[in-house]
Amino acid sequence: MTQFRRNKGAVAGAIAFLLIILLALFGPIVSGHAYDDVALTVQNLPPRIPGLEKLGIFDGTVQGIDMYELKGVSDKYFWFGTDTLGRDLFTRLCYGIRISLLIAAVSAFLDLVIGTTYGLISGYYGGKTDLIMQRIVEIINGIPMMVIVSLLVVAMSPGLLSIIVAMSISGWLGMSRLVRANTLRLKESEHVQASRVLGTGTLTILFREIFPNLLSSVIVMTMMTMPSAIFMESFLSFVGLGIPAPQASLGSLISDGYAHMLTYPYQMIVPSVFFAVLMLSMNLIGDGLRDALDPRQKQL
Amino acid sequence: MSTEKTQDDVLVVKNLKQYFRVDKKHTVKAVDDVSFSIKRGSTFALVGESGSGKSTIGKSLIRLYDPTEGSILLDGTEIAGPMTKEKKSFLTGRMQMIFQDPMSSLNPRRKVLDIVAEGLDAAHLYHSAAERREKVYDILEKVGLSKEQAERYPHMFSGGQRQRIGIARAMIMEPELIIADECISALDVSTQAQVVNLMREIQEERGLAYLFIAHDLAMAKYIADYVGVIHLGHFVEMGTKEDIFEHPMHPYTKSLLAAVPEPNPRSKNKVVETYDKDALGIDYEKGTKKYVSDTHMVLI
Amino acid sequence: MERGKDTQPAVLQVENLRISFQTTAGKLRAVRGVDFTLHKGETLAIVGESGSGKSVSARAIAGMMSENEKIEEGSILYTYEKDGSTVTEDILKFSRKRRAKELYGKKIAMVFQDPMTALNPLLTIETQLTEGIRKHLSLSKKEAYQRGLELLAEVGITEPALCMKQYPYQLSGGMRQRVVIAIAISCHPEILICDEPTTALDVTVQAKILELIKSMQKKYNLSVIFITHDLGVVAGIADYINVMYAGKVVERGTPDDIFFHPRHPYTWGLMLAVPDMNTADDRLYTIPGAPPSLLEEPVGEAFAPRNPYALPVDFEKEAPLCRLSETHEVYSWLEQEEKKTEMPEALRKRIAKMLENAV
Repeated sequence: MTQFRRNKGAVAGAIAFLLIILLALFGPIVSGHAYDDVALTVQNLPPRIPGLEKLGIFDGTVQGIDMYELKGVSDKYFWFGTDTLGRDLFTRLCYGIRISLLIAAVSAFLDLVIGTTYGLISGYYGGKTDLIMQRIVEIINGIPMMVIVSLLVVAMSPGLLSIIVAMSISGWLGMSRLVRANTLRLKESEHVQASRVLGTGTLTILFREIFPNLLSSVIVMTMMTMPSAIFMESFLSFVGLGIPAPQASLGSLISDGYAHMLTYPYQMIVPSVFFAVLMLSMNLIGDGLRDALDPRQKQL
Repeated sequence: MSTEKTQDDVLVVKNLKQYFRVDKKHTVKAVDDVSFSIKRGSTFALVGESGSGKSTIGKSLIRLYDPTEGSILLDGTEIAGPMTKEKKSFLTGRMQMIFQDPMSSLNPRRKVLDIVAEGLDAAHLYHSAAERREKVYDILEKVGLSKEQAERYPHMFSGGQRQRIGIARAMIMEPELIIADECISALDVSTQAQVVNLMREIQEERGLAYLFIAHDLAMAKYIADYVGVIHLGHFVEMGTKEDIFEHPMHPYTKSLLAAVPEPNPRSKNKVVETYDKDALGIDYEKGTKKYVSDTHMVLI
Repeated sequence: MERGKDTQPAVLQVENLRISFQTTAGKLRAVRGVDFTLHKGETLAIVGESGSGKSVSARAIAGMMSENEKIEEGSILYTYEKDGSTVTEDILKFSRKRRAKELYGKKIAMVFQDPMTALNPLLTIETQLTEGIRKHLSLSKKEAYQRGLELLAEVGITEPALCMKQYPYQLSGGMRQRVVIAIAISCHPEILICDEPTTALDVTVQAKILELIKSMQKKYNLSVIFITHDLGVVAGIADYINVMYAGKVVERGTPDDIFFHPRHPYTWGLMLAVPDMNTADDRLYTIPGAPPSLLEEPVGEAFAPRNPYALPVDFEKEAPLCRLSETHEVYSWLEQEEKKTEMPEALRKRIAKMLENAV
């Protein structure tokens, strides 16, 4: 714990991550708007934040012209502006982050539950079991993700569920490989041999002798695969295979904003910035955890 | 071995073979037709260099490996062959092992109390937590540790103390035979003496037998009643301590003894002859066991 | 500190060396005021168990220091030939650059315990062997290769050309150690530091490697510092011995002094703890307890808590140096006593037996 705290990057990442979670949870309540309020009267308004507008930024103006005044809605505030359909971007962003966090949670779950167990069993039992299990992994690995998702989108309607199913098929492969490699190494260690000699059952050995000693690698890997999962979902949404309208995800927001990049740049910049910060914070936390949990003591 | 029937044998090994299939063409014959027996309450030292097969014998006997061929009679009962639940439980109650590396033979994430009680846990040898605790405290005292230390974790102990914990873990099962697989090799000289003396004490008190696997001939001489010299998976010579150390016959045994440096600056300079079995035309597989005396066997 | 009439002059003089490590648990005082001298052409054995500071001291001479290691005090005086005259300099005061250029690999070389980690598993023997030669002796690739072949033959490798092409994993432990020795002597060092070079080897291989080191020493008049915990090995190769405990030297003398007339209780304990093939011991004497943690500076003598012969003053003050003979010195309060404390009976018997078996 103390070593984690010493790593400034990791601490900054952790704080940022926490703030983003809070934003996603409580943002929509505070903003007062809904994510799917279509209102063409207020379309494409730039960001306007009460308080900050007095400083000359986020004041709802574009090149000097007050867009809110222009549209006759000087009484309204859209903190991050609105999109082409007049929906509040701040609220949509919060919902988008929620989706991303959900994806991250699913990814972590898959890694920890499926990936770890698969790797433990494959590595510990070895022999034929390992052979078959690894062939399965290789086959799954060989199929491109895009093909799987496309097929699923055709079979099921596009949406969060199809993405989660796609992830469940292959998202845990990396973790299973990591766990298997570590298990192969750990099962030769003397305390595992001692447990076998003493008659301890296999399941107990796996989860008491082997698993705790790979926990640090597992945690670090999980922290690293979460951003990849978010990125994958964002990419799919960006190319149109992910979250359907009117739902919002960071990827779909960036995609929508991309179309108007030159005219209303804030529509793309805002979700991109949050996306980048989210990914970065997770990576920093992962780095910090890896350094802190590294059993190799540098001194002594 | 001796044909006296005054003490019965706690372990009788006949024609033990342990082969490892490396690939389609190569099989490593780590242990190649080995026979010996250990009398109740005595110490049999298995000496050899690295790659001799001595550690493999230990692991085959305790069924960490499945013997390729051969018979192992523990207390009169056959424990080679397919492993069954009955065999396993018979085995755990009568034969235990102490390992080499004090750093890795104890699970760093478990308390000493749990580590020592592991065998009891696996075989359900107690009726209450209090009983379990009592048994552990008892055994810890026997090995020279205090009951307060049961609540600590392995990293708080020195190498010698960790080996004592390993001994406690093996002893709590009240075995008839303990296989000590190079259990003092990783310790300091003065600590080695401590641990070896403890082992002798326990043997005197409980009538335990030891299979003492080592490469340190001087220590083997100190602790053993019988000695077996192993090279490339075969016993080249076997006998009582006096037979081997005072009247060695096989050229390999002689070369080993000649190579041991004496802590005497004025000792006669021993000629170190390289033992080259191919040059001498020796083929272990074609050799026959010749009994020079009741107790002394040489592979010719 | 004289050794005897035939001793060559001192080449290395370590004075009051104090080394500490900054660890997460605190400051570890690994070496607490160590003096020893190495004479030209001799083998100085430093004997001790883990925590004695023997490796740390020797590594400081070779310049192998960790990031969190600090030389608190002391000097290492090196006497050598420079432009025709003899100079003595404190190598601890050399700049890092100067040390790398003039000393390590060139004048001072090291042989480690584990040949597998001393050699780079990804490079061929040729690359590793010729690297130092080309740098320090400025030879061309071809010349360095030739020199490499010669060296391998010298250390007893039967097929030098084949070996050059091989990788460390293809060699046995003994062969790897021979290669390490070849690398060590490749640039004609004056001082060879061997840190437990045979501990990881089989006993028959160990005997051969010790023979090799001895012959190399004779041939090149090397000054060798040999670190070990194995008294058998010490008896065979040492010209002079320093016994260390908990960061300090407790006794020093010739092999005769140490093995036949030891005076420090730790030396007694150490000798009795080792089973001797030729003496039938009933019980191995053990030194109770364990070496102290050097996170705290011990008060008085570090060995006192485990010393059955400890005097009250041992718990208060560090023992003074006592000169027992021309060659034999010990740091002990027992020597100040009027009545001489005799060594344990078991040890006396063992020594008597050793003298009987002697040549």
